[in-house]
Amino acid sequence: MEDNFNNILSDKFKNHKPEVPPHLWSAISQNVGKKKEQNKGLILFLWGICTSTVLCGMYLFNSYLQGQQSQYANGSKTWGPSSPSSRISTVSLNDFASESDAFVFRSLAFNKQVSQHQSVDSNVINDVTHQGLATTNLISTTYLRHQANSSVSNKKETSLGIGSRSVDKPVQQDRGLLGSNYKYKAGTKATSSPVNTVLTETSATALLSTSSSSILTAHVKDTLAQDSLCESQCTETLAVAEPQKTFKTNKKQQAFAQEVLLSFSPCRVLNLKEGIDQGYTIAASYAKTKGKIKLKIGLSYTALGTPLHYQVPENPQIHTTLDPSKNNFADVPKDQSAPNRIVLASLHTLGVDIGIGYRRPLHQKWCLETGIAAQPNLILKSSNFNTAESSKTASKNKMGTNNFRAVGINIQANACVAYRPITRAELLLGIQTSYTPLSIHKNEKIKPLSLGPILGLKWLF
Amino acid sequence: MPTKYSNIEYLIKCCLRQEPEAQRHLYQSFASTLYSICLRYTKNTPDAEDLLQDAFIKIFQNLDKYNHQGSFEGWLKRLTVNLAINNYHSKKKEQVEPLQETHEHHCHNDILEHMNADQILVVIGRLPEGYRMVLNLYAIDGYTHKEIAQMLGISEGTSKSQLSRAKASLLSMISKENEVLAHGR
Repeated sequence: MEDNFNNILSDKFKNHKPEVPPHLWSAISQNVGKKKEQNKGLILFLWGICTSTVLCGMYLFNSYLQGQQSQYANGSKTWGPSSPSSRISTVSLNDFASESDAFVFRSLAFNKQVSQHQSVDSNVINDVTHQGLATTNLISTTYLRHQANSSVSNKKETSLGIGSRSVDKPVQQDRGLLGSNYKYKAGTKATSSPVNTVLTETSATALLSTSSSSILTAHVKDTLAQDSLCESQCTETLAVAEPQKTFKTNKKQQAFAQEVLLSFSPCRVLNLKEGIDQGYTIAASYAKTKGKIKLKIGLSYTALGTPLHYQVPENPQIHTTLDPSKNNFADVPKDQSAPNRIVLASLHTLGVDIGIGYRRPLHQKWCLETGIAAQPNLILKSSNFNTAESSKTASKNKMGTNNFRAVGINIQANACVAYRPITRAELLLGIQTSYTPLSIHKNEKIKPLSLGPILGLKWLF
Repeated sequence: MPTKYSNIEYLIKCCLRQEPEAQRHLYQSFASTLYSICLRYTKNTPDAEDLLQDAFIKIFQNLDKYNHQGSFEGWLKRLTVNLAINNYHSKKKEQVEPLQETHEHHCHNDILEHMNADQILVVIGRLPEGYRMVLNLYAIDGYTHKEIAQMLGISEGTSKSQLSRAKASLLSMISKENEVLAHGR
């Protein structure tokens, strides 16, 4: 019976073709046309919104920069802790040892002061290390140091130090030393040559390893042994690697090596204003150059939309610890209030880039970051390095037989979507393209173009 | 009389090129078939007209997604039925459907057989929304209870019971009308 019922019903409607009201077509045809127009309009609208947002952002950012500059120029604002006693040079080991949450004094590894307090409690250092990433905001210091350790045969060591200090807290002092450490074989006998003459090379992978207590301790000890190291030397210590060991630099791969190996821009001390978006990014990306795909992993520092300022250590004691003949502070601006308007915008590329970028406000869970960056790319074989002191060092070093010299600049464009599941962490997904318009290797111009995804995790301070 | 749009592939191509003439031809070719579906799935003519309008807009927007496998008319019908189901879901959120009591009226299928499609449509239009959906999908469009359950977001058991009640309601209403007509005579 049921089947019969179904059959009757379906038969009834099989050829049922009711008359359609004539007005319907006009309504439908109009709507079909309208939808298309609406889509076009929507695209135009969105395009307009995006363009105006970018323009407004650039305008506001520019205004912000100008405002900041004038404030610092007229002295209404100053950098650093309000109390002179809490400045870098006046913080003693006793200070940080008494602070349970203290970080290693920023210049611990780099100042003569350390050598005056050699009884550094290793427990303190360990504590510091464990809390290193939890450091608070405001002022960060990035420096690159290098040393050739004679006690470790056949090894060179490149490290990246990151420090910070809090100016908001009741105890205002410089804090922190994070060490990232990378060891690589130099392929030659290491020497104990003066640090500031030794060429260092850092690569993306050089920044990979995070600090650990042992590394940090090693840094301190090494530094105690070599008291001539100071943070300003990063301007002189170019990031140079032993290409034969770090990257195989046959002709096919040279372009890639140029791209990956990074040199540091001369940013020794970065004063960053409160409320900025700054963070360290552990990023992984791969680059495809000349058909080769390589994975890049590294740590980068992001301070977007922030005027950076050179900071001049005030205490002359620091100056006296340095050998004036090495001209350690030659290019440090004497006027502390004069801001440097360099904007550091390292958008998850590896190393430090200088550029501009745009990102949406911090309170958003989803952020869009985009920008362009220029990345100085200077790789020199140590024996070819052009200082008088280094020629002596180079003869000692004998770093391989293949001379490698490449000078260039990478221009990078990045676009990233960042998702912030918690306040401090950001997951990044994006794309970057890198182009090297100028790169000279042995009178040979190489113009590698790379394109790759960005996948990263950023920790905000 | 064969026209230049007799070939359905060509007609679709022209519609994809946004040729108004082709669009109109497609509409004229299938409007009444789809209107029949719309009338079955809605409770009154204005709703059916709205549904048909929406269906054609969607058809023209999604014409590029037709993969040329299976009958084009079948694709159009399926799209229309899906749209009707979507409408049902959106309406369902807005209003809670009252449970209807079914009175058993002895009615034979032969009464149904003597009715034409338009008369049956009137009765179907009076059925509660859920009943009407299941009845249309199962009895006329040939979907299984499993498929109906998935489409409507109900269990198979519910689908079966809804169908049973829909049939009973339909026959009951037809029977009532018959009685009224008989008394009138």
